[in-house]
Amino acid sequence: MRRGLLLLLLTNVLVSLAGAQSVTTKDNAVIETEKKEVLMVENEVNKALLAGDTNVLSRIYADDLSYTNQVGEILTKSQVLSGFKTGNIRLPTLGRRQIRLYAYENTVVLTGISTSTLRYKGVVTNRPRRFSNVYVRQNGQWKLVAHTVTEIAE
Amino acid sequence: MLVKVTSWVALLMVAFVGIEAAQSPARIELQKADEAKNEVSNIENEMNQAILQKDATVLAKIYADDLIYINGGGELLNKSRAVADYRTGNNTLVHLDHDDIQLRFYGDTIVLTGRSNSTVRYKGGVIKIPRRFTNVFVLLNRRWQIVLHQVTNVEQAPKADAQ
Repeated sequence: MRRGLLLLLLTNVLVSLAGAQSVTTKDNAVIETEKKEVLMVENEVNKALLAGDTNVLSRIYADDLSYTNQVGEILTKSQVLSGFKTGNIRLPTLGRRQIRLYAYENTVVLTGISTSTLRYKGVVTNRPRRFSNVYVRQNGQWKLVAHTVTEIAE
Repeated sequence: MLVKVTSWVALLMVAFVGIEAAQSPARIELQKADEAKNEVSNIENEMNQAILQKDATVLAKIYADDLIYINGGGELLNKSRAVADYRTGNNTLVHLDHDDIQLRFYGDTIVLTGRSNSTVRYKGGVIKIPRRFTNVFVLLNRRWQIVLHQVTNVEQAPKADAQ
């Protein structure tokens, strides 16, 4: 009886510990594969931005996306998609450089400099901007959960 | 007799906990998210206090080794440069004022966003304009660490002409 109780308690403790742990030891090949997967998703996003394809953006953007644009506004997923639909947001040309990726357990952070031409609420900018995209794997798919842009001071 | 009753009560409690856990994974996930968010909020506060006090040791503990630190001017700094700037006073937080803090939980990642009206002295200049910031925390070796800090200046609407 007591042995059974101990076993049950031990099992519960082990399950709790397993849940709290984060395994960070990952094979390099796996990391590289994940980075390639995210790069492919990022390219898909870029093409969708140019084409104003909100179906693709809607699939890749997480429902609770946090989107901080270059003027410091925080937009929701629906606000960004609506911006592309109404023409408030337009990306006539795409320019990206210094792309770097950092992989963690289920997250990849992508950073870079954008020199894209952006039209936002009628104002056109092509000043270089530093951006970060945070991708999280949800149900086997890489989703964009945070996008942040910062204008580079002259 | 008493031992037997106690054993049965204990067994029932363990079984109840097990059934609860098995029946409400969504509730467990919510509880886990809340606990993680609380933990990250505490670390965020600890970091802000460390910045105010120029405590490089605490900052070095909270910043991940491959930290990406993008300041309001769009400069990209690594961990050692960011910590050194705080330690030497090159980057000084004069007055802390954060609000609209929101946390989003994604298992081993938490995205914290907020608005800063803090006063900062950086490279001799004083920065007071409102900024948005994003801090991304990742669970690394059982510790929440910041892997990305990015600041965006909030564009000010042109002031109406008094005349």
